[in-house]
Amino acid sequence: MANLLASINVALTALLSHSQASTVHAHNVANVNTPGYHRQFARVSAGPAVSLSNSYYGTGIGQMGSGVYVSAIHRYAVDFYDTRYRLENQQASKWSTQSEIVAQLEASLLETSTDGLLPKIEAYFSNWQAASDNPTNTSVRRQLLDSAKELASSINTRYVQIESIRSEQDLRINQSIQEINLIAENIAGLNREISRILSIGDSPNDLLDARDVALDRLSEIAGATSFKQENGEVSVSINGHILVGGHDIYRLHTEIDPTNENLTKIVWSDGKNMVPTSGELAGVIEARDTIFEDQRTGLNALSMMLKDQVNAIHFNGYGLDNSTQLNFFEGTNAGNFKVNDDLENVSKIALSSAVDEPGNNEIGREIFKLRITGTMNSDTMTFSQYYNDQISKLGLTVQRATTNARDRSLVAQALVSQREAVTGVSLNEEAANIAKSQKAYEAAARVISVIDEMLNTVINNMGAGR
Amino acid sequence: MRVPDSMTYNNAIRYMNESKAKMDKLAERASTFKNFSNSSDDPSLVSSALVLRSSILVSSGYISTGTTSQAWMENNETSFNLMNDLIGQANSIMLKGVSDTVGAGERANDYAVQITQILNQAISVGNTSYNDTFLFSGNSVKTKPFELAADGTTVNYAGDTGTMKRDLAPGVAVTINTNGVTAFNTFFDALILAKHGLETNDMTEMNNALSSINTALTDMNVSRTNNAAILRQIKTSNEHLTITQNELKGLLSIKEDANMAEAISMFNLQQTTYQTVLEICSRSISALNLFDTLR
Repeated sequence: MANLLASINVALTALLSHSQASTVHAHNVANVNTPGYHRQFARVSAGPAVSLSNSYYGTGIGQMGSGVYVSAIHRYAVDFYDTRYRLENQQASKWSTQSEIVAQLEASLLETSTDGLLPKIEAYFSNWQAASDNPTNTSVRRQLLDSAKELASSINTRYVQIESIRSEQDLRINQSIQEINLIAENIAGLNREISRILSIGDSPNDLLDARDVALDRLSEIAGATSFKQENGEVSVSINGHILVGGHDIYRLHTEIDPTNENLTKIVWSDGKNMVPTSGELAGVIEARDTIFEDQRTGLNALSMMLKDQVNAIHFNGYGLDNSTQLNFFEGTNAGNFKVNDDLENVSKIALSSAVDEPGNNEIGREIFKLRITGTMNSDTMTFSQYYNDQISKLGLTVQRATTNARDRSLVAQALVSQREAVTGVSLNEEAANIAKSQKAYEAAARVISVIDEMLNTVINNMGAGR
Repeated sequence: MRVPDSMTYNNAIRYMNESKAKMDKLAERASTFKNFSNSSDDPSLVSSALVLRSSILVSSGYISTGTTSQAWMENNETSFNLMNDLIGQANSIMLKGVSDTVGAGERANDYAVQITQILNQAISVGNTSYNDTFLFSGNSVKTKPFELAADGTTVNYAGDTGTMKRDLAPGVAVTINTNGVTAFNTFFDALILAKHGLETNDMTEMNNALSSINTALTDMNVSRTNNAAILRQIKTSNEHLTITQNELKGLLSIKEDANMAEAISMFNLQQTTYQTVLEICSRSISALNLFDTLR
């Protein structure tokens, strides 16, 4: 009688264990599309055995099992792939962000179209030539003035576009810093919970998944690296500075940097500057402080050299009304570069090198010869060659960033695939596992029915009562 | 290797995106007829195309200068031609005027009047303008250069000796104007002398005037020859620039313009690839899984 009841208990453990295993598989199926989810499985073990004895042999005849139990809910994880993936992904995200920002500038400049700055530089000098061919013709002078204004306006527009996209990056930096702080808080909270659950012997699988997703994102934004401690907590650092240490976080904030044109800089809570070397933030800051700065410096150099060279000649010339000592261009940088308002009266444009000589075009000729004179880059490049070089530099920068982003991304993708191969959920696999649990469950239920029939035989069909 | 479902979907999405991006790039090439849209598409190709564009614009400027200068100098030539006729007429009149068969009255009342008319016409030719600018007044192009003095004894010059330079190519400049005094003053002086000689029946003055008229023709021809030589130089330069410009345009087209047959073929090929990727991804995603068959 006692053995029959033990059998029911054994079957019951099977029912419960396979039911729990099915729940784990169902959890896997439910999370098939959850980002960062690591598949789990219920590890089942045979229950503790008890020594069997009887009246004939006594003890020592062997041990009888007590059923099956779920001994652990295991989570598939390969830390090596996580580390490798994060290292590649932080480079991929750096180049991808940089490529996206610089391509935005390239697209807005439209340098390969007829609206580019080069055709306007050429048109400006062509109009000086046309005016020199016909120095007394006021409509040609008006055309020259218009082309000069258009050139100045195009330079201003480019300057504004560069400045605008450049300063927009500060907004992006601020948003990233807020996100980093939020993720850091999240990781500190998860650390606390994970270490508590581990300390009582459980495995906080879903919390570990959530923390891995947060670590992936931190690495993507700022190239953060993590180190797992014995108690299950992770410490996170960026460029050697701790961001999360156990339950504590060291926040980042942004400040105005007076040494960098009042742009935003990133500062740790202890006052040290944070200069990211990988991740999205590195891409943003490199684009803002190096690539955009280079383009802006180039534009300033071009406009100021144009102003200085043209003014130096124009100042000594004479207009149709004998006006002299007038500058053609004004301004202190590419942003406020403009044509002298006095020249709105086109008779004041100086083409002649002598007073009362309206047919004299020596000043005009000298100015349009600047087109083919090496004035830029230590007198080695003409204005158009210099700007062509600027366009090429920008194009090469975009191309390099795009190529690097694609290459690093391919490596990161390959690592994701390898990681997924271990941790990802396969619906077929889960279906087979559920079927396996179902069959075991049905068998256990059947065992209970059989034992029930045996008990019925003993209770109802045997004894004096019948 | 295990292939979890997320890998199947992620790979399908990646393959479709990559294939679509390539197709879009080729579609852009085929629809814009251009090999590039941005410098980053091919920085060295774009750079050389921009250099060619600049060279074409520079040569256009020089061609335009040549054309304008040519028009100016052809007007000079017209003036020289007219002046040449007047010199011929003056010479004929003076040859008759110095003849022994002509009397003093005829000289004063007929030939002197004709010479006066020629003088006025010659001054008018010297004052020829083109595009509202006087051809023979140096750089004082708005000033009428020649005017007969009130007493009729001299033709005053109000212009200057400035030279008008035009650039036909980098480092190649020509002077397009002719000094009016050098070209015409001998003739004006000869006509004034002839008129006076005819009016006063002074045979010495008439002979001197006749001689001066011949000298005037020589003087003017020096200027005229110079004008013609520069005119030829301008024409040659413009022809050369036009040929060069056409070659530059051809080179630019090779670099800039897409080979349409190639672009469309490549687009079609990529379209087929994309359709294949879609088909494969569709099959891969919609393949039966075990849940569909378990009962």
